[in-house]
Amino acid sequence: MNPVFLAVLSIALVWMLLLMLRRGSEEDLLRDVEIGEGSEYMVRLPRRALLDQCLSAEDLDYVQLRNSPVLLRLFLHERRRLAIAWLRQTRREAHRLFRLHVRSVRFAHDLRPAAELKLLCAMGLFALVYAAMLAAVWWYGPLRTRRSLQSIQTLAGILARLVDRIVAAIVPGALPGMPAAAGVSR
Amino acid sequence: MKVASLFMWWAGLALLAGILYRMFSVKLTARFPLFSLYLAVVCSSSVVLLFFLPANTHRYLVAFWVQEFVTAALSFGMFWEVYNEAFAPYPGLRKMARTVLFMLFLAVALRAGLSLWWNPLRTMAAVITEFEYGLRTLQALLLLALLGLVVHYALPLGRNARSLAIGYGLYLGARMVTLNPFFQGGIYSQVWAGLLAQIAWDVATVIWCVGMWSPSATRLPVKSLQCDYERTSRQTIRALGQIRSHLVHSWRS
Repeated sequence: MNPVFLAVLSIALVWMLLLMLRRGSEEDLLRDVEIGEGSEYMVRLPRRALLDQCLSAEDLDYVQLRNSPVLLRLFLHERRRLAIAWLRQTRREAHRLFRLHVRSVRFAHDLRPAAELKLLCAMGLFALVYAAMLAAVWWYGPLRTRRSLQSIQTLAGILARLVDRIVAAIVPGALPGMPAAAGVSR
Repeated sequence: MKVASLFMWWAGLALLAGILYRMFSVKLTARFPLFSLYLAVVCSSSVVLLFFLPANTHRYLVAFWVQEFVTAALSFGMFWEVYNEAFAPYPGLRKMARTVLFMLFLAVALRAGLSLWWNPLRTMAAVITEFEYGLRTLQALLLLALLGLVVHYALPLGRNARSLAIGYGLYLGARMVTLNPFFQGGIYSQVWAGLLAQIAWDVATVIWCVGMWSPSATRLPVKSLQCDYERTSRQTIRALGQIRSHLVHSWRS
């Protein structure tokens, strides 16, 4: 028997029991009903203009012109805080939609495990992207994160164009034996 | 240590009898028949075991393991009670829970079968330990899946069923810990493991006693929303994709 497996299973069980206790309260149920009644499946995202304002290069230039390291540090700290708040607002919206889905479909007669799993994967993917963004903003700050993302996007664009050119170069009759090799019999 | 263990044992037995009496007087035995049966069997078999003392004889060991197997088999009834209470108003979720639990059961059975095929057990002690380990693992996984669905879909669970799940969940967690090889090493650690399991059992009985003191109203859903499942699912997946894309693309200048 694997002691690590046993320990993980025990901890998971206790954690699940605690979750059940926490979520089983009456207040939680009432809150859920309010969520279900008050909002629909309309996505309410935090405005992009807010983030643009937060990442404004003009603001940074202005602060750098003051030539005060303390002010610059304060500025960067505040901008990081704002960027993280923006990210958290996005996460809250995703969670709201997910909870709304869960509360709505639990009454459905034709609930399908595969569809629910697909949704869980979509939520997992979102959580992964969110965690990566949060970690990047936390470690490098919002301004450097934006620059890094722009570099990655530029690099991805160059690579995509390169692949397109390679494909365009090799496709016309360069590999005559391909259909037979792929098992196509005529 | 021996006195403490004996005291715990008697306290647990007294609490069990108390729960049974209380459940019978407030007519909870009809609502939770399998749980009542489980408690009754545990209580009566513990008393019957007294007639097989002293504990180091062969007949006591046989009686002890027969009692263990019977109560372990009956403890699965508790899962049925929680499942019944939590999923009754949700036919779709009920079906899904059945599918998930069946697949889990199949996976554990397959793993146990394969493990037995490759490593045949040679001694009785190994058989018993392996059996208990497999059983507790299966129970823990089933309870985890059941509670996972209850938590994920925020299903309202009455006080009675909640106390049932919490009590048995805590006992199961403690039993899994005591099955750890660290506790199986020597005589001294085995005594501690026994005491820990006994304490966990007593805590579970206290939780059941409090939870089953009076019948709680069945917590039915506040309102039943009928929705087009296909459409709702599609909409949520699309919305999540939209949020993900917004999260990344907003950082472009």
